Amino acid sequence: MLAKIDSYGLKGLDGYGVELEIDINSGLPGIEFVGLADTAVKESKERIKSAIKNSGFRFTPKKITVNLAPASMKKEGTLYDLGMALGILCATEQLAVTALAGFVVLGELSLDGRVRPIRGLMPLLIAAKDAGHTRFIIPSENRREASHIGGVQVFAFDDLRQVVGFLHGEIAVPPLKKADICLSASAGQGGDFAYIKGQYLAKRALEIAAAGGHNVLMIGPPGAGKTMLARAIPSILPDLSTEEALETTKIHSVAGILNPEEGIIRVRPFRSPHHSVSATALTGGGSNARPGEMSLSHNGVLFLDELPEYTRATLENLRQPLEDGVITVSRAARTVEYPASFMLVASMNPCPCGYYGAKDRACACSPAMIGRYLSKLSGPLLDRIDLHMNVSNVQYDEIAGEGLSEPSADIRGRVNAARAIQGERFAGMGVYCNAKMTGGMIKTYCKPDAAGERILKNAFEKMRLSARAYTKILKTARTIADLGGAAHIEEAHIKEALLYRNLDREYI
Amino acid sequence: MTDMTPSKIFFWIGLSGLTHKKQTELLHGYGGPEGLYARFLEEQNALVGIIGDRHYAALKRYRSADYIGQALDKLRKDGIYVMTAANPKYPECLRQAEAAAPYALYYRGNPALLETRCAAVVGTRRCCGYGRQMAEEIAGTLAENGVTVVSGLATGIDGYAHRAALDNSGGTIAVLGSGLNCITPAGHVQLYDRILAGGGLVLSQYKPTDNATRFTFPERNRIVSGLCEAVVIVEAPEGSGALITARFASEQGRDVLVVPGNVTDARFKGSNQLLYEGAVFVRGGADVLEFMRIAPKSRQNSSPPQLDKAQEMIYSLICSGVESFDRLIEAGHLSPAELAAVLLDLELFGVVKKTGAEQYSRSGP
Repeated sequence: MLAKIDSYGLKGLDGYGVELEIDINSGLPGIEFVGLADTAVKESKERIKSAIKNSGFRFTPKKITVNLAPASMKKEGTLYDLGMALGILCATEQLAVTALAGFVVLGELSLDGRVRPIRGLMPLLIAAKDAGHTRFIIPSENRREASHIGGVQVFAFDDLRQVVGFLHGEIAVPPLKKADICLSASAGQGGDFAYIKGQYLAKRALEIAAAGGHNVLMIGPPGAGKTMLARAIPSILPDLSTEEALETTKIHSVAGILNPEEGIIRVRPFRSPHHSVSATALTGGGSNARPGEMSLSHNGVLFLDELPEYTRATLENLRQPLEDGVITVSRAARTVEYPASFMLVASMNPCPCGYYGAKDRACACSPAMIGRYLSKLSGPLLDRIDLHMNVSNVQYDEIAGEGLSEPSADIRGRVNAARAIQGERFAGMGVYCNAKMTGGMIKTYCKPDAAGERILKNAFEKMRLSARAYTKILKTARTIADLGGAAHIEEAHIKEALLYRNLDREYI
Repeated sequence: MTDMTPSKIFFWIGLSGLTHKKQTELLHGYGGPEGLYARFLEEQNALVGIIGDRHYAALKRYRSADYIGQALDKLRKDGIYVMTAANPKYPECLRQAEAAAPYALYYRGNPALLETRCAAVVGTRRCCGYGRQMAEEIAGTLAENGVTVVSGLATGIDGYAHRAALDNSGGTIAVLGSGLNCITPAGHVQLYDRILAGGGLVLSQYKPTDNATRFTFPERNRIVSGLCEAVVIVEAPEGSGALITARFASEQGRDVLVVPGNVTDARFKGSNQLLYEGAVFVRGGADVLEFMRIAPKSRQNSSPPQLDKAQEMIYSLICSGVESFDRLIEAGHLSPAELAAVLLDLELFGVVKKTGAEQYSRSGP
């Protein structure tokens, strides 16, 4: 007898419908898979067999053929286990076929019949919902993730026996209640600016960066506190919107790193891959095209500590996402596009020894060494970084001093206000923050007043700034104006923006 | 024949590529430039004996007055002029001090600088931050007080000395170890252009198309020291070219001034050795000026342009030694945005300069 079960498969961040067809024929006993199943799918035959037996059902020693349609797409992962087990039960008439009609079944099985969680549940649910499916059977451990999707009936189960009981109407299982997405203020994990003494310039620059979504490069000697500052950035980032939270959750779900207790990403992600990270780990990919660090930091911060230590090839991969906000991963079998719109925060030493320009220590590097060190960062990459500022060592009495600095919550208040202004300005333009302005928008929205124009011209001549600095300064000045609630870019805004273009001035 | 001036004859001899020694031998043996030129053809055998076939043939080829005139025109179109020993403007100090003073010097830029008081600021190519700071301080102070800064356009100390002189709107002379059109190091092409644009002078004893070799740099150092009253060595490890300049300087009767360095640091081994041997100890530009008996211009007489209250306060804080951005915020009770604006104004006024990572210091008006 033939049984058909609806399930879903992952392709990048999207799901596609997979129909599981199970047929039982006479022949040598065993399970045969057709429809481009990968190893994880093929291995499921042992899990299914044991799970069915250990749940108290009968496993017929006959030839079972499982087809995963559409047969042209490669199926991978363990999420079809539950569907296939239910299909076999239907085919062997231990379960009524009609009971399963209209359900999409997702879940992995363990040998004892328990239903285990799967990765990528949220994008699968969303895709299936968009395709018109309304009823789902999912693993119990994925319940929190699923509860954020409204308009569908989701039933979560602990083991196979429970599922069959439910389908037979023997056990009543209520559908999951839709949970409200509660986006808590990004606190806790990283640290608070209140505990960072001194560093006024750096803190102000990070405030501007957070407000306008600008990429930042921090330059400073070892021990100046660059990493500490970076780790506190999440605490001043603007709150996530619901759409952003769902988008980011989808990516984390596909990567399989979503916390099952949370079920959703509430705070902007902060990713800091080590400098030995491979290009693939950063961009995403591998044979199954998983999202990489750049996508995992979507809507959040990607922090690259000791920027020149990353291989050049790795760094150059940042260019497309920094420009377009997406990363395209192409493999022989498939091409996947992952969103990767993040704020890049990088840190580096000013020279190989680390003390170039420091007041209290002598630098031991020759100009040629410094030149070589800096040349690891290509022009196109630096072009995409709006603010660079120096972070210098904190003096003893600053560290030892009493009292706290301004708490992150206050800074975040200003950042949120500035973002609100930007949201209004760019309504309907597909741009959310000043950093993403296009050339035309810069012309429209970043016109300095006469005094500002004059100071800019003067500064260009006296400080010998490079041409690429021009638009960056205007964009940064726009954010500074937004932070100050000013409608137009004024002289003072330009002056402050000029402070954050260190690398454009003659460095060596 | 009639329009062959001694100047043109010196230029002609230089075209042959003969060493200075051979050039001298010819000039002395044949009664000066005119004698040599006049007797050049008839004395072929004797001359070939001295300078060899190849050089003789070259000189013979270039001997026509037309050719020499055209060659000079061509150089002039390229902005290059030739100053020969026959020229009354030829730097007297070089002629007197240096037995091997070249008969022809090629230059671009402002030759009037050769008549000003000159001091050399030289040192290693691989300098450290301290060396850079001292080179800039000394060259800047000298330039500010009207002393022309002479150096070798090399990377490191030389380059910083030139830049500091230009930044303080002073004169600077770069003496190249290569031809004027073969700038070495190639990375200093921009500095070369800046020197010319800033009213400086670039000078070489080599034909414009000559490349630098390991021998040309020491030869060049003779000219550097020969042009100057005093030679300041900023940072020199053992075996540094700056030490060769110092040796020439003492041979030529020039004063050698040395900035002391850490005695345990190999990067100062050569310069400290000079101090041990009796070179003049200098702590900065002011000491060099005093040694040259130049009264330093008072910095107060051109008081900074109209400063408002906040600018005045920050300026006086910087003068009193509060130099980092974060310190200024605390001491001045300004927000980062306000302080940024004040500092930028002060920087644009030219009374404050950024010296390093968010460090500011007073800068001469």
